[in-house]
Formats: sequence, structure tokens, C-alpha cells
Amino acid sequence: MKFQASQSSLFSAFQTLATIIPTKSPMPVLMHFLVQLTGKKLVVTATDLEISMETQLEVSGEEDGKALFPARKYLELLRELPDVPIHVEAADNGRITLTAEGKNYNLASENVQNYPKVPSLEKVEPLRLSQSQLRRMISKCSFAVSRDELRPQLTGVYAKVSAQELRFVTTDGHRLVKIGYQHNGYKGAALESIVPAKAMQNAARLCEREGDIEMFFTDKQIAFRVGPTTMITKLIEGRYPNYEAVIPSDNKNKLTLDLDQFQAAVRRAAIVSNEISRQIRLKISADNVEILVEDIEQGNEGRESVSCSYAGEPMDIGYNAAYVLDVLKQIDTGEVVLDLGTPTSAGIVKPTEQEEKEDLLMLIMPVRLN
Amino acid sequence: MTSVASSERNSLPKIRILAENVVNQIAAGEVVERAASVLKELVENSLDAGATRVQIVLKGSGRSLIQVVDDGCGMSRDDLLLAFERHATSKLARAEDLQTVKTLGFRGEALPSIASVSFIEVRSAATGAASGTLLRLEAGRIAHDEPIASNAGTSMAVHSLFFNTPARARFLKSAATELAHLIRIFKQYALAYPEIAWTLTHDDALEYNLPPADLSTRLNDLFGAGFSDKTASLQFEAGGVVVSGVVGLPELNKKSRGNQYLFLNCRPVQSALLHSAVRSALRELLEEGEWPFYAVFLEIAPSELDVNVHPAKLEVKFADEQRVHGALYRAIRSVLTERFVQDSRLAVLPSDAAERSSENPSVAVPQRSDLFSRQTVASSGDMSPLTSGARAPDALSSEQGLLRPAIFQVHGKHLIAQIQSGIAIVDQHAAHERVLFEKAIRSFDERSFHAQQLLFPMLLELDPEMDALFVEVRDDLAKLGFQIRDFGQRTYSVEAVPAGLRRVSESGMIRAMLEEYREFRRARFEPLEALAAGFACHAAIRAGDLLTADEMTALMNELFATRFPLTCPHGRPTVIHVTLSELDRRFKRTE
Repeated sequence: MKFQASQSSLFSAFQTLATIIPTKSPMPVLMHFLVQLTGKKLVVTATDLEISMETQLEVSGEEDGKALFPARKYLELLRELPDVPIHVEAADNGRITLTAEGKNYNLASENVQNYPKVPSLEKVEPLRLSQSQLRRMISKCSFAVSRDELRPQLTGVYAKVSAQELRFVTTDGHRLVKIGYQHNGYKGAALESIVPAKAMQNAARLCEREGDIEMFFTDKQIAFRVGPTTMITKLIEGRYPNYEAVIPSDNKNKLTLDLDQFQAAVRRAAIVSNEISRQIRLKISADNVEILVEDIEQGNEGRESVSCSYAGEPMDIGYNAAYVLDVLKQIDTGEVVLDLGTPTSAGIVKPTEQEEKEDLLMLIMPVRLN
Repeated sequence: MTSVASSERNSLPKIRILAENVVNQIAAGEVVERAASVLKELVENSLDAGATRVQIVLKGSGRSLIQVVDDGCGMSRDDLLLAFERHATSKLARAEDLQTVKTLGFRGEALPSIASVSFIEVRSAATGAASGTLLRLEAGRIAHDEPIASNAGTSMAVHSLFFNTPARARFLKSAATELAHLIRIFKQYALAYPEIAWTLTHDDALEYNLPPADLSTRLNDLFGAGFSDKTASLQFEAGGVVVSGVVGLPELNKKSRGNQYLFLNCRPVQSALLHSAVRSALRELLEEGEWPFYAVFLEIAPSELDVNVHPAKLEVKFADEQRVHGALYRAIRSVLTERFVQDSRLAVLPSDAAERSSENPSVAVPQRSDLFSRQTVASSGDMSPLTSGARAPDALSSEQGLLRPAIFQVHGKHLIAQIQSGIAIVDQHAAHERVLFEKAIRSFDERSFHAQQLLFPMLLELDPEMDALFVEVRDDLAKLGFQIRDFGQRTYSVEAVPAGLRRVSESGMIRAMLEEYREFRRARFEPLEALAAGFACHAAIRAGDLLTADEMTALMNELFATRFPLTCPHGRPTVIHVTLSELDRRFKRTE
């Protein structure tokens, strides 16, 4: 295999795939790019066996072929080369040669025959969405993904697509995010799936520009396509917990707060809170919320008041300050609304006004006060 | 029928006399193992006689002479003669209460046994008697018997021990070893009876002169001035077991045994069970191969134990071992305070590294080393200015653009921090276990864990064995912040978990804790400690968990705020301290 291309085009194409390459793997071939040349079309693939990503670029091809490029060395060399035409050659013995203006580097590589089979894109009706919208949805929900490997379903993002809506749900059992978006139309089958968090992060990375992203849903995989780049991910098997059943429908105590004021107050309280439990306490009355914090172990305490509007019973409720800050960060409106039930049941956190076509709802579970 | 009687009535068949001598010599082999056993028997006799002064005179490490002189109730001639008859204990004559095993000697085989392998000279006068008796015995036979003028009390001198049993004599160790055994016996009784005045003379040199005192003065008199300051007093009573005495601070730990004194109803005893109770109670303060100092007194109703197991009366058996173990264990745990830590190991971790860095700015001393300054902070809130102290230099270094990480994580499992005297290497899992363990223990009283409510209750189905364990600990789990609902048929719903746990698999938690709990119970942990240890073991961060700088700082802070920062609940070390001199030595820089 022989081809020539500019440093910048090569670097940006390979760079896109770099996050897929595992840093450590019992299978050394996975730490390589799979590179295939057919005429002028160079196809580059990376996989960690769960997620695979492929991109294409045009080069001046000289001799078709297929080879593995050692990912880290190759990419770092590319980065350090000036933006000049680079000649790349893969010898039959597997060695990769980069030549550019008197610079010549020769890299050892693995046998291309050992590279695993990579799944291909199943052509189903895609859902088309703006890149910025997908990125936004992912960034709003990713914080609540669980790390409990004994409950693998919670370590992914629940994704549900229907004719009208794309919905993501994440939860770690302590808080939950549900974000829905009324898209412009989808003709494929309605499907529910659980997408690994790492795949969602990579999908968000693909959404860096203006323009759309296409999503292909099947019952075994989800694919994302932006321009010449396609990412395909396996899904997490199993049933996602019945999140709808835990979203309270009768939380009658409605608390509205200035977002900035409340956020700043909780941030200050968090500093003084116990480093482990991060516990704060909200004493909610008709026109103000008192935020109390006490770290018995370190002997620190604090309190402050934030004005609010509140329709409901006076309430004393404990929270993990980090959880509160996490949800407040997702609010884009000037005020935030908390619909509370009891001091031991889930509270709903929402913006005062939803973005167009969007529906964001978060749940936060309190800490029982002793 | 006996040797004493037969010596007066020579007409008795010879064969019976011989048999009795043989019996005594055989018995002597069992009871009189060495000079120290003789001393023990004589001292016990003096104590049983109600002595307030006991003088011990030794010569030739006991081979030439073991003499015990007391001011006790003494013996009449008849009693004295009886005393040298096997199984006819002279003390039966003294009082009715001697029929219990509260006296030290009771088998009545000691004196005849000793007499059979030595020359004995006894002078004794009973309280109130007009005169006393002098008796000389040679290999158990009365050689001399005359009335003498004497004050009340007894003087028993044993000469030429084992003169007629060369085999036994050969088994005696060096003079130094034999003397050490004698001294140990002396120390045991001197500790058990501080209210009695004791002297000990060896080869005409006065080795000990102990006036009547309390236990702590006696400790100082025996082991050196200030010794008792390095101990903690025990005072505990539970379930009919009274525990008193002292345990030594870690600085008294030794690499060899010999400073463990255990007394049961004032009788020196050996008990693997009780020793293990002391050891496990002190586990955080003992390093591999170390022995603690202790002088522990247990009082238990005689009906609860069987001391008549071995003629030397050292081994005891208890009716309820677990109860005695538990009482002793708790007695010691309850006095372990931060004092133990403060006075010992942590002193090697310096507190002034930060100061030093300002004195000598060219030396890159990490700002965080002042973490170690808070060696002891009572859980309730002795608030040293640690937090501000730890943060301020950080801000400084970032202003200067000097990114000097204070603590490094290596291999995802060890934290390395520079301290003034060298390097501290912390095992992150063990350290976090220690933190969580102590917090859990506190939580049983104070409920310091809050309950994080769960959106999705987790179902827990237990097999009968696990369920039995679960029922045992269920109420205590609630104190840790778990909220569990019973669905019947060994099925439960976990609706809340302890708040603030990081990187924990909540779903597997209770089952894993129960398994740990079972193991810790088998290792004789008390129930609450077993549960706390099981909890800590499972909830602690693991090897492989990457920590942020804040998390590392928090962990170090919390670790050094615990009572026993240097070991995890299993007793394994949390911190390895490598000194600069050690490093220099390894780099062959030693001058």
C-alpha cells in the first residue's frame, strides 16, 4: 500500500479516531489503526471491540492495500511533522514508512490479518438531528450515569426514539435526568436501547460543527454518522429500570429560586460541608430558603438565606450538595423550579421555561436527616 | 502410710516407703520442674498464710538455696509435719473458706514433692503460739525436729535442689536462664500483690526491695521510674467478669515475649484465649512479631472456671470462653485512646515540614506534608487549624505557578507523600478502610451516616445462612444509614444506603458486607466491630480507583484524624514510613 496526502488532512482524520484506541489492551492489534486504500479512498478504522469508528479521506493513492498503523507513534509523528505532502508506504512485511522532505521514519507494526472484524453500518432509516442539539442533550444527562458495574444498565444512557421524540435518560439511583427532544421526523422503527456512556461521549465529540448528525437505530447497535465519519456502538443488554414510575406526579410543594443566587449559596455551603457526605440542609419556608451546613467531624458550620417563592408546606430537607450543584448546572433559565414531595422522596428539578422542542426533567433524592 | 509418718515408725514395710518416695519424686518431676517452680510454691504458701512481708533469698540461681521468709500465720508442729505429707494440704486446717479454690495452693502435693528432691530447713511459729518448730528434711525424711523460739511466720529454705535426681538437674538451663525464671515468678507475685512488701536477694545482693504500694507504684519499682506512665489502666466489668490492671503503650512493645502478665483471681495463669483477646484488642498497635506489655487481672467467680487442669495450675479453662474473651477485649478497646497513637508511632511523622520549606525554599517540600500534623483529633471535634493550614500553601504555590503535587498516586493504589523525615507511602484501600471503620463504629452511637434515599430500591434475596447473619445485624445496618424493608421469605428491599460513599457498588454491598461480617466474626471480632469492618472493607476505595488531588487530600486528612491511622481494621499497615536515612543507606550514601 502506498499513498500520499497532506499532513493536515491525515492528522485530522486519524485524530478523530484516537479516542477509540484503548490505552491498554490485552489485544495489541487494537492499539493500531486499520488503514485500507482503494483507489483514492483511504478508510481508517479504530475499535475497542465495543465501539468502532471509521472515517474516510481522499488521498493520492499509488498502490491499493491494507495495513495496521501503530496508533500512538504514528499520530504523534504526524502531529510533529510540518504541513507538507507526506508519503506513506506499508511494506508487505508490515513495516510502515513515512517520508516527508528528507524525513524518513520506519515503524514496526502488527499483522493486519489479526485485526478483528468490525461491524458495518446497517442501513436503516436515520434520525437526523443538529449536531449541537445532540451534543447538548448528551452533556445535560451524562453526569448522572452510574459507575456501579454490578448494575451495568445504569452505566449507560437510556435512549428511546419514536416518531416524535428522541429521549435520553440517565440515573445512578440518587439522581436522574430525562431529556426529550421533538425532532423533525423519523420514519424508522421506535426503539429503546442502552448506549454505553463512552460511546455517548464519543458521539458528543463528533458533534463539533454546524450541520446534522445521523443516528441509525437497530436492536443490536446504534450508529452515528457525521460527514465521512461513522461510529457504531454495541448496546448494553438488559432492561433499563422503570424510570417513569419513579417520577412523582403529585409533588405539591413548588419552590422557585434565582438560579445564580441559589447556586452560589450551595457552592459556598459545599466548601464547608463534610468532604465525604457533602451534606447540606434546606429549611424551606414561604419566602426564603435557609441553607445550613455542618461538618461535625471537622467542626465547620455555616448558614445563609436565599429568597424564594414557595407554595407548599414548610420543609426541612437534606441533600448531597454535589448532587444539587450537578443538577443546577444543567439549568439554563434565570430561575429554577423544584417540585418537592416529602423530605424523603424524590424532588423534581426543572428550568422555569423549556427550550423549544425540549423537555428537561431531573430528579434528586434527598438524604434522610437524623 | 506416708514418708513422714514412716520415718518415725521404721517398722513399716520397706516397700511402701520406697513407693512413696518414688511417687514423690515422680510428682516432683511434674510440679517441680525447675527452681522457679519451687519459688512459686513457697511464695503461694506464704500468700495463703496471709503474709504482709515476703523475703526471698536465692543463691546460685536457686540451685544452692531458695528461701522464702514470711510473717504469715505460721504453722504448728503438727501442721508442719502434715504439710510434708502428700495430698494432705496443711491449709485445710486454717479456715473453712480454704475449701474453695480461692487459695493459691490447694493440691497438697507441692511440699512433699519439693522435699523429696532437696534438703529443707523450715522454721515456723503459728500466730499466738509460745514457741515454734525447726524441721530439717533430707530427701523428704525428717532428719531433725526441735522446738525453737520464733516470731509468728514461716521461713522455708530449700537447699541443693535436685541433688538426688541428676537427670532433672541436667535439664536445668544455664544459671542466667534459671535466674530469669525465678525473677519472672517474683515479678508475677509482686505485681499481683502490690500491698505486700517484697524483697529479693540473690547471692547476697539485694535485687529488689519493694515497699507496700499500689499497682502503678509497683510497676515503677519493678520496671523503672516512669514505667506506669507508659501504660493505660483497665477498669471494666461485664457479665460477671471484672477486668483491671494495665496495658502498655506501643513504645513498650518488644520483639520477644516475657512481659505479659495475666492473673486470674490473683493467680498467675497462662491462657492462649486471653492472650489472643489482648492481642486482637491491641492489633493496631502491634507490628508483626511484637509483644505488648500487659499486667491484666481478671476476677471471675470460681464456679465459672476450672484451674485444676495442670498441677502447675497455669492453664485455666472457662465455662464461657466467649464471654471472658469479650470482656477482656472490650476492657482494652475501651481505654485505647488517641494517647496511644500520639505517644508512639505517629511521632515519627513530622509536623513542621511546612515551616521547614519556608526556611529553606530551595528544598522542594510538598505543601501537603502538614497533613501529618494532625496526629490526633478527637472524633468529637478537637479542631486543629488543619484545613486552613493545608489549603493556604496550595493557593500560594499555584499563584507562583509552581505545580507541585503534594501527594502522588502510583499504580492506582498507593499514595506517596513527602514528609520531613522521609516518605510516607499509603495504601489507599487500607487507609480508607480505617477511616470508614471508625466512622461506622461512631455511627452505631451517633448515627453519623445519613441515609441517601434511592430512586430504585434494590431487591435483596438471601439464602438461609446469609439471612441468619442479616437478622443479627439488621438494626445496626440501619444505624449505618441503610434502610431495608422486609418483604418476607428472606427477601428485602434496600431503600437507602449510607450517604456520601464514593465509587461503591451499592447493589452488591449488603451481601458483600454480610460475607465480610461472617469472616470477621470467625476472627473473633466483636459483633459491631465485625460489621463495621465488613462495611469498611466493602465501601472503601479499591486498588485501581484513580483519585483526584482533592480526594487524596481528603483521604489523608481523614486517615490521620482516626484513632489508629497506622493500621486497617484487619491490623495490616496503612502507612509505610521510609526515612531519609533509610533512603540514604539504600543509595549507599551512608558515611
